Amino acid sequence: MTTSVTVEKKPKTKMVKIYIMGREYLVPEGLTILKAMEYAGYRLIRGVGCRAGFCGACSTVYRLKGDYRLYTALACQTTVQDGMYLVQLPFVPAKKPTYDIEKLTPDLSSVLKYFPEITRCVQCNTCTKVCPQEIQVMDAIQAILRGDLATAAHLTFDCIACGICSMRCPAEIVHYHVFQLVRRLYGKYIAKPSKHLRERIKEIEEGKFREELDRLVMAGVEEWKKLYAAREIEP
Amino acid sequence: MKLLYFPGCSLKNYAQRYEKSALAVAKRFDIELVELKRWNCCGVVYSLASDSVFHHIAAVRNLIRAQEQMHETGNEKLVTLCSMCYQVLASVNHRLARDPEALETLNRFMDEEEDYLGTIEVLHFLQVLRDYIGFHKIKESLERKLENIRVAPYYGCMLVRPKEVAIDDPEDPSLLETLIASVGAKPIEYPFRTDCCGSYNVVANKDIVKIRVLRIIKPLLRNSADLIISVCPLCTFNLEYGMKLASRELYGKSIPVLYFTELLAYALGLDYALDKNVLATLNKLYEGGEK
Repeated sequence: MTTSVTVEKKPKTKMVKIYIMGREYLVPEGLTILKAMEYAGYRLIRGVGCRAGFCGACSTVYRLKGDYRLYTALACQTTVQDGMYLVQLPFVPAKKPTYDIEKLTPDLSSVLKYFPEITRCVQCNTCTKVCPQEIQVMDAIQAILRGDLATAAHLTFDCIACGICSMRCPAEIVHYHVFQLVRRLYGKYIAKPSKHLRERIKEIEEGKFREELDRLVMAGVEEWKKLYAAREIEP
Repeated sequence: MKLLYFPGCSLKNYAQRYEKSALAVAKRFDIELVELKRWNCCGVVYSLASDSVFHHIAAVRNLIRAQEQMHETGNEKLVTLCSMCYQVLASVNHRLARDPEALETLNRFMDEEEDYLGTIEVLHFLQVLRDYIGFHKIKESLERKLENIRVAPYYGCMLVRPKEVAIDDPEDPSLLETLIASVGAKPIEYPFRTDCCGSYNVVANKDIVKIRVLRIIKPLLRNSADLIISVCPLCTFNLEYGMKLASRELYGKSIPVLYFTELLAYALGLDYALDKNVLATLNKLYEGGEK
């Protein structure tokens, strides 16, 4: 008598063909661009960060077979497709001026002092087209140019400073640094001060959380692991 | 009646008085100017290059914004106040209506927007006064008759040239004179009312503005003009600034420059829409005139 053993066959992973810097690779379907590059053997040191779509470090550009468009995305948030041409951008070089927010006034002149190049905007809207956060980037620059910093601050609230807009801008504007200045000016001078923040700062200064923090510092690795596993996670 | 309204950057910045007074005048005659929900700079200068359409993008995008929103007003009209905005939007519109190839190139480039169909009609607020309100209606609605105030109309170049988009006769316009007369004031005749104020040269070559303004202002001093009315934020800025630059040549004299909408708002008794200093200037002239 023979005994038959049924071996459950693992379903074969479907592979897709991608091109990294011109070279062909087969990678499993469903990987993000970031993971696909690592699967192909790349070790990413820069151009990668939180892997959760928040830090803006893994901006990437790609093309698809038979499509003229240059697509942009965050490599940690986009899955590979068959026939993708990829390259990972390690960094966006950008001028980052130093300023003293205490000495600035919340108006256009403050922004132009550090970023006069925003007046070169020709309103091609490329920045808006490429933004992975779907921000109305050009509208925000235009709002700044007419002195409406509040609108610009609200429009750019979701900016993660990935820098793709700045790389594609024909006017060479560094949008995300401009927006950061504008949001700082808005937060400090224009927005209504938030009451609960003031109260919380007072509580911190009065040492309300001191004891709890000290206890946590002294708890030790095992306790930290336990606490980390039991932490509350935002839904 | 509702009309879509494109403000332009200056009207949200240093020319806020122009917008405030214009909106009040429109409202007085039951016209609601509905500001575009999204808009960007008009492009400032109309590009005359015939082989490039890139510099029309800014204007076309605004025309598309108007197209997206025209269901709210039930018509295809888009009103501007700044005469430079008017000139750029109207000129681009005019060119694209006659150049379908350029329109197609632009529509293809702006693939994130709906196609521009070329049907928006760009108007200047002066046209709204003339064609939709009517000067007779203004005359009937006056709260103050501004008799004895001598007002110099200043057109600048953008509203009356080139003739394809001119809102009046490019050689001999009369819109502002009619407006001045309809509020009871006296329009002053002088030779340089459609001369250029020096425009953007104020940034790089202030002397040009000084020379232009001297030329425009001198005959007005001889004619003892009380006021100049302007249609454009940049003209207003240059006239005021040029008078300062040429203060010595003008023997320290200057003439207040107001927007035509401010004179109109004052005559209609819409004081709430007027800047404090403007109201004081007009009160002084009006009360002086009554004596």
